[in-house]
Amino acid sequence: MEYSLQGGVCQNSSRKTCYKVEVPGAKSLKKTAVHELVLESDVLINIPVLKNHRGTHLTIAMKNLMGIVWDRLAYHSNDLDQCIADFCLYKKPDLNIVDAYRVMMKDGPQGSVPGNAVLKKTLLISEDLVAIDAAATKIFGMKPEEVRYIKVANELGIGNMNLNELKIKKHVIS
Amino acid sequence: MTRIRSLKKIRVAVAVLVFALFLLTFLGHGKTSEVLSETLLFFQFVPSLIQFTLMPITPPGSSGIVRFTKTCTACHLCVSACQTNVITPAFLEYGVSGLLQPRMNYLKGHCDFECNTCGHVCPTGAISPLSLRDKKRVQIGKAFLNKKECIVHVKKKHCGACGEACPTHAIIPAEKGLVLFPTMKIEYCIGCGACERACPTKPRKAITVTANPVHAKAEKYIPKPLPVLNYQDEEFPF
Repeated sequence: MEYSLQGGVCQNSSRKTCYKVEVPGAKSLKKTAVHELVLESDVLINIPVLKNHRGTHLTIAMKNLMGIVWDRLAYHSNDLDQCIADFCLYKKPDLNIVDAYRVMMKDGPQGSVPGNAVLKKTLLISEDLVAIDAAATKIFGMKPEEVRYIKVANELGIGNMNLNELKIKKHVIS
Repeated sequence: MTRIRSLKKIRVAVAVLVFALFLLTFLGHGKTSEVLSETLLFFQFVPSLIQFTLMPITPPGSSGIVRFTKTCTACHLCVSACQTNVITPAFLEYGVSGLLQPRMNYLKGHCDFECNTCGHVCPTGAISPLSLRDKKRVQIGKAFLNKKECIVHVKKKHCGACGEACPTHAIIPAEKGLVLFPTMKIEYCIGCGACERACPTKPRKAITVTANPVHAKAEKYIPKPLPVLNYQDEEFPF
């Protein structure tokens, strides 16, 4: 109620605002703590900005969900790719919108020089986390199998990474 | 006879105590010693003991241990001004004469890249006031990556916590078989300790910062130009 009155607010997670949850069917992330806003919400919309990442090749929709848990170091020490995929077993966003307008192609996540940001002017919208991640890897000229958490999530049955099997509507707005 | 036996007992007791302390020092970088030092004042020397054998890291702007210990009056203005609480009073790291002189304690925090407060509050010039541009190039120490502890090198699974935290691009991924292995580019490292703070390995950190007794200047990272991608920008890549 408090949050809805404020409109759009940036919330930092802390130990007090996160609550422990169990992830069913997970391999390495069996327990974690999730922010109260995610637990209370009716609809979760995930809006990641597409960028390069030192640790996991790319940051897209699934990796963006690391922001709603408390203990991110537990992810790092306990097979990062598997944990990122495992968390989607607990909660999938209702809608994913990948902002690929100005994409950091190198030296992510911090970034180094403005020249590394390239205008791609693309927006990807999907209900399927894995499909949207697979499509976004193509913007970097990579294959979806090369990013391990997408491959793991596909094997877990969270979504479909085979773009040939999907219906993709492509619109060009001039 | 009994006297000799009791002496022997004392000797054994002392040996056990020394051995226990010796073992405890190895836990110095772990959580156990952090908890101990915070709960029991008596054990506060445990993390300091390891540092005693190593050299302490001095704040950026102090230009070296010798100059710093000569000019610092241990007034602790920098200790209270430090935003990340990385500057803490030393115990015996500088020797007995340097008791309570400030040092960088990477168990408590890391040196913020966009901050030069300590130099501006120092009244004696022990930490000289640097501009932010100069401070970003001062190398107060060097990070060392222990490949026997590092998660990526041991388990061949992604981690990247250190590379994510590094503000100077001193930790660069080397791709081998679709796994990104962190590798050091030591010339860019400024020894801020962000990587040591972020490293998730227990009980010892896989990446640790060792002091520069005289501060050096780090090189500036200039990235290579972007590779040209195969697809045309007008079309959809997928």
